[in-house]
Amino acid sequence: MIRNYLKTALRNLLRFKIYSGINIIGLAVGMAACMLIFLYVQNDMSFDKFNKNYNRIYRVVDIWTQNGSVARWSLTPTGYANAFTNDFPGVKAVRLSHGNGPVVIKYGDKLFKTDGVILADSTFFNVFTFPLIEGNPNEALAAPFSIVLSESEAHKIFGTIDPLGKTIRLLNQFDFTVTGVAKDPPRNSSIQFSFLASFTSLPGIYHAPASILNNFNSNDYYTFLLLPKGYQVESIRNSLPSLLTKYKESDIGFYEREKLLLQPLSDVHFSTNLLFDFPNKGDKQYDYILSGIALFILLIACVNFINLSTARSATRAKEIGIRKVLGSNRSRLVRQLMMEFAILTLLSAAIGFVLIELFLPAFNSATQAHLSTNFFDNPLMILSFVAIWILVVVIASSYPSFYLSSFQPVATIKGPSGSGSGRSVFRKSLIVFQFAISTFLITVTIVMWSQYNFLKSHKLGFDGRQVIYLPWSTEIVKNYDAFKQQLLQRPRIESVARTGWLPGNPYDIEGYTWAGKSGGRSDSYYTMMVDPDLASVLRLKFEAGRDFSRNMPTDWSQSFVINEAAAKRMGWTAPEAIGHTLNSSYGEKGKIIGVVENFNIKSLKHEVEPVVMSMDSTHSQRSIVAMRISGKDIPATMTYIKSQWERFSPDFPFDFNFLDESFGRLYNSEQRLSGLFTTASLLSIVIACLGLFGLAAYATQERTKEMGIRKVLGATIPQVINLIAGDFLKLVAVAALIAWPLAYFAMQKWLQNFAYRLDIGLWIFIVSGAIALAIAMLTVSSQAIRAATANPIESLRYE
Amino acid sequence: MIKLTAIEKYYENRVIKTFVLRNINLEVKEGEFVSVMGPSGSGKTTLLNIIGMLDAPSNGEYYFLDEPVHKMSEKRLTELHKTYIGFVFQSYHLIDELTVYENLETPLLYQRVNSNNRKGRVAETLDRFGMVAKKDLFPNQLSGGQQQLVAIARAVIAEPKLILADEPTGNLHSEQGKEIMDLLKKLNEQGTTIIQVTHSETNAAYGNRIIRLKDGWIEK
Repeated sequence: MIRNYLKTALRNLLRFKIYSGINIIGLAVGMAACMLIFLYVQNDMSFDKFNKNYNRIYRVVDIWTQNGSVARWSLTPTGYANAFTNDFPGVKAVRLSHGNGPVVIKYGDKLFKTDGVILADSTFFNVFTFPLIEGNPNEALAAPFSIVLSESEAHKIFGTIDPLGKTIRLLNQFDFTVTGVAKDPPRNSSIQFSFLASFTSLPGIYHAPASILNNFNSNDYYTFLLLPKGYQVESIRNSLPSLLTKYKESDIGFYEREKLLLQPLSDVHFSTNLLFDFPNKGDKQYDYILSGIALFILLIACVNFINLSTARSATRAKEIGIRKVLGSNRSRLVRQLMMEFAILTLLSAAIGFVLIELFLPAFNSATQAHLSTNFFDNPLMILSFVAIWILVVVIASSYPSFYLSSFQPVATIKGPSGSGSGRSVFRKSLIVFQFAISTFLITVTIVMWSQYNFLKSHKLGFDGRQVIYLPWSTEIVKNYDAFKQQLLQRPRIESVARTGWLPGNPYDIEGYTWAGKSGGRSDSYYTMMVDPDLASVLRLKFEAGRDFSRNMPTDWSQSFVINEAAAKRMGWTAPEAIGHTLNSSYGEKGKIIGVVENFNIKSLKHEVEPVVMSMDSTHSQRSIVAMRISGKDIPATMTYIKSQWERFSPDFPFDFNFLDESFGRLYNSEQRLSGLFTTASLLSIVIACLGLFGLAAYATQERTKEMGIRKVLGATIPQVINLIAGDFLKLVAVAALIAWPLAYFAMQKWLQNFAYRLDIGLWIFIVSGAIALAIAMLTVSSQAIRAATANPIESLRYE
Repeated sequence: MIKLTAIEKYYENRVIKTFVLRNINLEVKEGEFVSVMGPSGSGKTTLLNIIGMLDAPSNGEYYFLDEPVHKMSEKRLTELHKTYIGFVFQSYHLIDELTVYENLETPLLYQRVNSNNRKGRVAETLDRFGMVAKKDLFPNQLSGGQQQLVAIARAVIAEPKLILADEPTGNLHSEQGKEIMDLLKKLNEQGTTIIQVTHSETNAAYGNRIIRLKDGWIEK
């Protein structure tokens, strides 16, 4: 019996190649797309869960409230680690620094640049699951100036030599002994490292007393806790306030209220709005949306299947009628048809697998994800693929099976009935459904790209184009003036400045008070250590007052330049602010000498932040060299800068960034999302059109005789084309009407994420509708035109 | 074997009832060869479909082997018709995707005949109808007469008590038609009850009784 079914199935498949092809390929693409998106979401959801104890690991989050504004720190003072281990026996704590920017490493006479060295407590390998290839996990990070290398770094630096016990020099200054080699951290780890140095090196590096390891007033390091098995996290959470009062030695007058939170490790990847958090962020909301879209794409593909199978029912009806006459009952027919569809979809699944393998690299580059092609290692993935297949079999084939098997044999045997393509209400609604989703996705994609471009082209208050900045180097810091003079000899290097940070890069916060301030405590402001040239490098515009000046001795330590937002928050207009005295919480005191127009230091998701700039007489905090160069012949200018760099700082590799590019990287996640949506909407429209193509082909074939008769009666070719195409295009238009308002509301909501957002213009809807309609028109009319231009005698002869 | 009492069949829409069959009273005994005749639209095919349980009457009673068909469940009907009734159609209605052999095999599959038994019966039937050489051909590779031969073979392979033939020779030229009619006659002589619908007096004469229908009534 099964052989009999199989034979009919295969022969049917081969006899109707176009329909089978459309069905199989459409489903394959749908399943592949669905799978890719699930892979992406799974990867996102799996973040940090490779840690064996991830559900017992928490990060301490420190929240300050002052004057109604809240600073949420992912960093904590160093002292909390000990506080937690003392007060809660069995709890393990590990402190981590965040990568402090590029560091140069010297081994023998070879130089290597790294993305950063992370300081970590010796408990690091006990708390987290990062296996050591060499070295003792309990002791590798115990002694000061020990360092553990990632496998790939060890290979890069040492090649085949055993690195254990070797000495490498960091920053041309500190000698570290290699005590271990760790496996590279997995991609789905929030904590990424290539070098881990022992936390106990901290006093040595900063030439600071050991108390730096146990302070409570400077939020500089991540603190992670590993709770013992069976420990109630709530019991710690409840005693957090008392822990604070117990250990906090003094109120540094900076904040009104402090609160500690314990954040589960599995939430770290998804947390937003924490200061100095890890860079690689996911968004659960987007993950859910994407999963939804994946399902919708799958549904679109299933709808094709349903539509094409039922549209073709006339061809199939005869066989079904005969089988019924020969004694098959309905449930047997349903089984037969289901099995046939299951085979078809299995073929799709196989092709889908191949498609995933083929397109994963492209998908990875479009979404900046790092999904592995080798997902046979991933049992969950295989399982979900099987689940998707079963889902497809159930959704796509159950309706056609029941529909087809319901035919009354008497009716079907009499001859093909007229229940053809595009005519039943059910089929029409399904087409509308498909194109509504496609149009929705197209609209969403356009809005996302527009917003992305809007963000990138929005005025930021500073000019980051042709501003390049160089990495930190001890030699350059020492010989900065000479270096600067050499650079400025070139007319194409317009200005050179030193600064603590630049817009989009890490920043610092400090508290300020001033005479006449209501409430005794200080307010926090973003602070920037700058020099008198930064304003011209960034092309900041002065609203009132003046810039710092090298010739005014008081400017070095007793003056501030603020931005308008800061002035506003202090309660002054720009001119009013000039001359007021500010006191910083670190004891600096000075007059406001200038107010600049607002400029964005964070991505445009955020409003302009208030900024206080000061000069730093010790030079210690201004480590970035930034310069504005002319747009002409940039390569030659770069060559010159490089030659000067190598002259002044031979031990540090030359590495530069353009400010506008690095600021643009703040929108990586928006870019990634737009990429995903582009892929999704493209796929959905392609699959939907595939189905439309099949239906149009069928409708054309079915109505060939009618078209012939109409032509003989004098219908023009456009009239005949309209006969077929008109039906379908009306449906696409209806779909657009449904999709537009949905897309509008969805995008309004999405845009709330941005402080700066574009207005959703009418043009977006017109364009998205036009795209859907145009693609549908092309698909349908190709069929209709062929039939319409054929000689009517041809079609009538065969009756 | 078959007893129809006051069978009526009509189609209804909001305005009118269109009668296809009216007050049909008919009895067919085992071993009979009945020809149903009448002009187009007189209800011949509908009558045949009702007898074959492919269609249900609007009113009236139908006993098949003394069982009340009009009261039966769908399942029992399928059971009954697949065990006792074979069909032959004017346009053959073979399954295009299956070969001659597989077409013959299909009714046996639905009756859950086991594999060895099935093979034997198909081989025997192929032999009996002289189609052994053609067993691997598809229907569209056969002539009309040959296709009808396959269709009859398929109808008899399950050894039905009753064969219903709806204009079995309608699409055939006279030479082939005669062969088919001879075959039916032979089957009847071997004991199979046959009811055929036909336009041709010649073919009707093969039967031992003629029922004439006109506008849904049996002409007396």
